[in-house]
Amino acid sequence: MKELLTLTAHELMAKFAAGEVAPEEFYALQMRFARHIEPKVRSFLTLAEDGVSPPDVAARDGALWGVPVSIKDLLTTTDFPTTAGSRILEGYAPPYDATAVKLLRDAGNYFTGKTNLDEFGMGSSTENSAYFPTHNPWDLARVPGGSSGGSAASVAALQSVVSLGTDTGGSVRQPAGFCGVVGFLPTYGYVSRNGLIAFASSLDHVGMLARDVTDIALMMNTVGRPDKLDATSQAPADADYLAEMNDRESVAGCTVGVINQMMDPKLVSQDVLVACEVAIRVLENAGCGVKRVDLAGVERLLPCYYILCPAEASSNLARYDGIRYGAGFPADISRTLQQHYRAVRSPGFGEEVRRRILLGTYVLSAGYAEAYYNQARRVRHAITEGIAEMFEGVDFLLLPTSPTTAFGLGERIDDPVKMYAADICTVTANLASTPAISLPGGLSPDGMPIGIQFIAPQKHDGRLLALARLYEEHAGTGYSVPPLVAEELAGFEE
Amino acid sequence: MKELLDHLCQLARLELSPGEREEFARKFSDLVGFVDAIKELRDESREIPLQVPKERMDTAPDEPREEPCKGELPRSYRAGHIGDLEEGEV
Amino acid sequence: MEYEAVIALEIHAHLKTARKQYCDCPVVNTRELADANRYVCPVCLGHPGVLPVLNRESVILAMMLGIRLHADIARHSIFARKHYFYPDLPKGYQITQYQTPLVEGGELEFLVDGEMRTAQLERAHLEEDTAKIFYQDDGSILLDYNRAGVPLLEIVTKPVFRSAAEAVAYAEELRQVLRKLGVSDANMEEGSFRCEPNISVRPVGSDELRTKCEIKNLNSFAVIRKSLDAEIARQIALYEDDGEVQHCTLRWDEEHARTVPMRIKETQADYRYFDEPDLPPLVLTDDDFAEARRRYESAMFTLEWDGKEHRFAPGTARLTRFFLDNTELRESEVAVLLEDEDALRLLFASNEISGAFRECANWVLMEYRPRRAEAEGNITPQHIADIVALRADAKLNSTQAKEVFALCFERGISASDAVSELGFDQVVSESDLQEICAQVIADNDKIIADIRKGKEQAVRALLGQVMKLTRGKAKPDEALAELKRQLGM
Repeated sequence: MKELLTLTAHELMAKFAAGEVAPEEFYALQMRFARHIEPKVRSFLTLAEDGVSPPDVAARDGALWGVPVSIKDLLTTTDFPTTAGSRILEGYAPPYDATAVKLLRDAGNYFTGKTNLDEFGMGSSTENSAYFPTHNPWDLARVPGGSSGGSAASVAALQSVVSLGTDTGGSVRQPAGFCGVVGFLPTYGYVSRNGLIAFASSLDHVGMLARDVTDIALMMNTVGRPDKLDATSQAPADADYLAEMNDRESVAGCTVGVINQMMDPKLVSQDVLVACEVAIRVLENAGCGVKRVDLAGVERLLPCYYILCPAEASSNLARYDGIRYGAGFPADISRTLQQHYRAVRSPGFGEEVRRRILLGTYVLSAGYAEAYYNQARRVRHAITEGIAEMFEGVDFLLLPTSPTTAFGLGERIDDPVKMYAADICTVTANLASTPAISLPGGLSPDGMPIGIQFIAPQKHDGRLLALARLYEEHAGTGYSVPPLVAEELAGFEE
Repeated sequence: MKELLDHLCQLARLELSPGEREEFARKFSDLVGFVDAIKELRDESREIPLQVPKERMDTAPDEPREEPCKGELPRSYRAGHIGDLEEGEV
Repeated sequence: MEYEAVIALEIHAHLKTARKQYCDCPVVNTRELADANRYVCPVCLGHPGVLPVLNRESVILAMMLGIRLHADIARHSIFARKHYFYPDLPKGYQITQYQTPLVEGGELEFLVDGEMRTAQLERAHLEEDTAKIFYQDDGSILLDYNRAGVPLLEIVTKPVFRSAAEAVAYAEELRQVLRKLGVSDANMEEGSFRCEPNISVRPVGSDELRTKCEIKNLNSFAVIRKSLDAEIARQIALYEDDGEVQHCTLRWDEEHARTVPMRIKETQADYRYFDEPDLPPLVLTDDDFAEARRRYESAMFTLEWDGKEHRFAPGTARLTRFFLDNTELRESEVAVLLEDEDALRLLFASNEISGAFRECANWVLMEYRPRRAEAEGNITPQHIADIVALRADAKLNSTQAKEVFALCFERGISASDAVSELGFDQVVSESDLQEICAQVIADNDKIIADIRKGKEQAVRALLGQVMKLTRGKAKPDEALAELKRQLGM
């Protein structure tokens, strides 16, 4: 039965429907294997215990009915503690479910647990987790990417069929690319942010990871809904992403733009460039037009992102002051108030988080806000307009998900600027609030997955999925079980 | 840079241990250099564009929840020391 | 040198909504610790991951005030985060409006000693209240989040007031306006109307703006006035001594009747405002304007006077001026009536019938209001008009009239029924009067002796007894004449 673990969600649901396996039976198997391989990969901060809150699997109308889902520990859950990967929220038990979590729960999904991440989503390697790093299932000495590294690893390592992640500057797509799975960033506001522990509110999206595009569409059919609890929500009420994905007409003869600046050998490694060129040929063979396009101001993308993002983070993280959140409650009344704030906040946050809070405080502070923060907002606007202009000439954009394949654990942790460089290909979509998807684009000569990224105009999520499906069919480089995981599976005794 | 960091720590209610100060200051200085690229842009437009791609908010009707809030919320919150509430700046 | 004060007021008023500003918790003004943290949810507690959703009602209420002030109402406004650390602030920032207030400019007329003045306003914007702090004897503080997230309107004037009296008169008028509009309960004691003046002084004739100080935590108009007067005096004394005023936040020290600086150093405050990313712009529709206008107009005060209809914008200044110009009411009486709309309407309706405005006013103010404080009563305008007429025709003396009023109030019967029930319409016959006078003389040897000794005024004491025995029905002059006749005076 264990070969069922390698199936996609829609294949699995066909087995449920045919009565070949019951959801609760599969869930039990899923959890056994997740625990079996967990010491190697360490995807989870909290793994579900046996018998934890079985969903109402009788509610058979859910798009992903009965399918086990892992959830990034940046989304609140009532049945698991939620830490955001931070010491400051250690033991925090949210009194409410994030909207996306609630929608999955109501649709009859099992939860496998809460996945590891860079603290508050700040990082590109999951090494900034306050608890432990996660390992890439393709090579345990390498990072899984971040910040949704635990989510990506859990899907790649067969610990979960699909996963709910969050993406502020590439946090779903980059780890998806590093781990050889599909990672989707919906248009800003298409999945409610209610319950997404805020990092940079205007850039934060809830996203999802799966083993193929169809599962992404099914996830979107479950969680891509309008929400009155999120004033920035703008999802269409009755979209059918599966139908839109299957609508080949919508992408017949479409034009894909390849951003020259993102194909620069100085920026992107040779292996990745080769994979992109292969992807371009795949698209041409599938009947798409390909056009080379220029994106102005590429050198400003990261500075812009690394101003806006810390600015909002410094604000969003102000609430962890030890009065009610943070290790301080109930507050220690022997300290003065100011001592208390520092005593709780300083050890509660990791180095990267403190760095970003201070950077954010700096760019917003009196005398500096105009030069940094306001200017960054103007740059963001220019980037958004530049992208919109590009979409007048092409239907989609193609670029690598990441300039390199997964790097080694510890390789970049001491150089924040170098770490930030890993985000160059992904921040554009967040800055422009557009949907984007990362798809497995084959392996590098040293056997590491390479991610191919597509970006579509705002609100063209369904059409982007149609293109992704088209690519997936023609490329033949979809998800494969990492050798190490296959070995574990072979040795796994049901 | 050290003075700037002290000021920012004060504003953000953070402190750096003596052991990490130097290293932190170096990395922070790299970061500031990294984002400084933004200053080179001379955009004189006074208008600062919107961040969020939604042009108008949906408001809620004035209807309070009737049931008490679900989920466990503590009823008692104790904090601070009265003599020190006024200490330090806002 | 002569100095003048330059004062601006910042007023925070709770908006009268059913739910909080950004979440669906009910707004309940609790006072006791036992009721603390009953009306809270993850949003107003600032839990990780929660998002604000603005209450539309607070927008409409703010617009109504904007219409009242003839201010500009922004069709497009945005919200911002204001950052500071304090235990009563759940999120580490307050969601407020910064660069684009919903209401901008405007003016408000108010009366100072019967004279009409106009205050220019800077702005009024929407924000949220903080938690309430309870101070414990052990030095710790307890936090009550029932108040956290209650909708607030911050209403700021330009530095237009030149004296404490002016500033207080404006604040009192604004409070009335908010109440009459139904925008706020504006209750200072309950904290739903909080006033923070900032103040500087300068030589008379100068137009400079000198360093100002802010006074916080003032909980009554009397305290505002006292603290402003004291602060004006303090700053003048400093300048007279060639000193400088330092910018600071002060509080009122009641015991020593002086303003004292708080230890919070606000000079370094750096609120790091930026646009609230969780709230897209607030864009008002024509429907919003129509609703605010309609509700504003239904809050206007309409008055029949001299056969003409007069309409007054919610508030008291214009109305007070109207009464002072057209009636004999004193300003203090007008103030009482404007606080008590039932009494005011009763007065006008009685006057419509009777035409004797001053007398009707006396009955409403002296008899109706104190009794109504005890019980609802059954007084109609006709009662008051009738009693005024009975008095004018000398059919009742003042004591009798009050008894009649009391009976009408209690039972709602007509004034004439009350008069006959009390027997005030029966006349005392001449023989009865002679008999009663004789009895009184016989019963009061001591008074008679006084009269005989020459204390003729003592006869008044006998008259009182006659009136009492006739239950006020005897005509005093006739009774006095009869007493004198029997005593041979």
